[in-house]
Amino acid sequence: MALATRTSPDGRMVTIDISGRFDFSVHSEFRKVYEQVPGAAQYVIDLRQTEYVESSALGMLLLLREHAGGDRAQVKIVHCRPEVKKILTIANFHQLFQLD
Amino acid sequence: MASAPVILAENPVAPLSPFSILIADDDRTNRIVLSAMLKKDGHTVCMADNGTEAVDLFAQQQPDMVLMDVMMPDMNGYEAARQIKAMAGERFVPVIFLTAMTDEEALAQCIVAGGDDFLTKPYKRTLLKAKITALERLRQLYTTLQAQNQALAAHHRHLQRECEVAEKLFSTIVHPGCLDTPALKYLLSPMAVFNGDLLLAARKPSGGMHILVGDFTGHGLPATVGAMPIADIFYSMTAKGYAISDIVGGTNQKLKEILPTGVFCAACLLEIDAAYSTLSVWNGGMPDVLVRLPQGKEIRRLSSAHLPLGIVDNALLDRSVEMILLPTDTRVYVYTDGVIEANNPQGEMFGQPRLEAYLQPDRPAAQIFTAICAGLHAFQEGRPQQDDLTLLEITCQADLEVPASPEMTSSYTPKAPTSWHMALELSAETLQTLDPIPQIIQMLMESRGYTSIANVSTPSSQSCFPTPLSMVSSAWTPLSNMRHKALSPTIRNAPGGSPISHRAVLLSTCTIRF
Repeated sequence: MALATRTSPDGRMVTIDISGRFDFSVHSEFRKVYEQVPGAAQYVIDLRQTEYVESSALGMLLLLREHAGGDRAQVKIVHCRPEVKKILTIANFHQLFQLD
Repeated sequence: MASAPVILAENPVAPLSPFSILIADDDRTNRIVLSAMLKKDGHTVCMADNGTEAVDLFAQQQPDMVLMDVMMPDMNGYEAARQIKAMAGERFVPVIFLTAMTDEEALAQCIVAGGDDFLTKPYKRTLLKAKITALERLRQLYTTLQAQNQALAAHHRHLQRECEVAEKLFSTIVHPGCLDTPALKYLLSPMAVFNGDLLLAARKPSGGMHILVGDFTGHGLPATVGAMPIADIFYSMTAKGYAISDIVGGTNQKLKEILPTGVFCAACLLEIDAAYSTLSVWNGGMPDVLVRLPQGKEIRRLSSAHLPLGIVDNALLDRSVEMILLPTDTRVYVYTDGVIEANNPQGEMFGQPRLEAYLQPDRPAAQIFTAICAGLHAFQEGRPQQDDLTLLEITCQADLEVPASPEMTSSYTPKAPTSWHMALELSAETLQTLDPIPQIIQMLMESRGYTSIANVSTPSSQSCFPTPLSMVSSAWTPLSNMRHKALSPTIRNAPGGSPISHRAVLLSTCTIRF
């Protein structure tokens, strides 16, 4: 499994762990994961186990942001490895997401 | 191209519908017995009593299956089977030999002659019926597959034709502009017919050049659809004299409107001034632009400072540009992530440090580009490319500036207005919000008789520029940190005419009042 989901007890916060390559192959699964929790207000994308982020994965993050309310979205991306952080920084995604 | 999955229209084990059978046997009793049995099962039957007649009947009636005796007068069953199989061509018509012969050689010969099965006389009816059913199933499967193959082949041809037309259209709209000037060297290796990377270059009417290097999420068709409006806006806005920050706004807003969420275009827009002495860069989501100062004394990195195009509205997009001075023989490298993310067989990436190593002082500047291309190729060791890959080298040397491209000079010789006057009044408030340069250039471009405004890049041509126009740009420049150009248009007439003298005539009568 490349994706694992944890939901907080009150169902407000969803954490998605992604391991290996974050690319187009997890597209439908990633979408299903956040659409399954309708009441969620906060999302955390944990990239501790992520080795590589493809440009289509950046697109998936934008889709999640839109799902979570666009400019009002609360999406946090945490535990990035330096090489993954670099890809997110080049795309200036810190302007759209909370990067830790 | 992905083929549609082959779906069998009919289930091959479903009960068989009746079909037509040709019986060839010189024994009348055999024919009558066999025919009665087949008719009882609902099949249509036609009969021949020798090989020649069997072949003729086959040609006339086109039956679905043949039951063939071997020993017949006139033409034996082997020869008849051969001719029937040849006539059937691509169609699969099962031939079952029914023969009294029992020696193995003769039976093997049945298959050699094109038969699909054989049965020795006297045969059991149930056995023959079973063989007929099995072969009919096979025949239907074959027919279905063949029809699907033909449909697929027709579909494929249709798609290919559409692709050719689309490619032609695409390359007309997304044309490379003035990429083929000595100042630029580039490597473009698309993964598909339509490239996910974009490389455009256009001369500015006031001299110098605009360049756009872009990289869409994904490859192929979706990227192509977005590339067309970008190219269109890039070329038309450049021709109208807009600066790159305006073009960033124009392309971003368009892409934001048309692209679905999740699809965007990382892009780098560059502006080189007429004298090739300054470079302005807007980098949104592309890898570091590398600037190698003469002799490799220093390598500067212009990092992405903005979101890629097509993600947020213009109101949220920072369109300010970074500007650097370019001493002569500076080299600038712009590339897409396909270059630094190219893999070797060990799964290792090419990476930016490896790329920068090629820019070190020990390497002569003229050899860098070729060395990077060769290095990239060797690094991948012939592995299939994973992503679109684009690499551009810009050499900053004013003497590399080439005269206007041939399409700018037509055989049409218009009568140019010899004396005219243009006045433009802009209040201080207007100047704070509006860039007057695109408007002035558009007015000049539209004045009858001038085929284009071409580049001037030498200091001498700037010196013959009339004071009022220079005043516009110098008075205006401090109002916005995005602008830094001295406006220096030449009005170029048809070939044969002298651009210099026309410019002198035109500009000397051109006044702008404040």
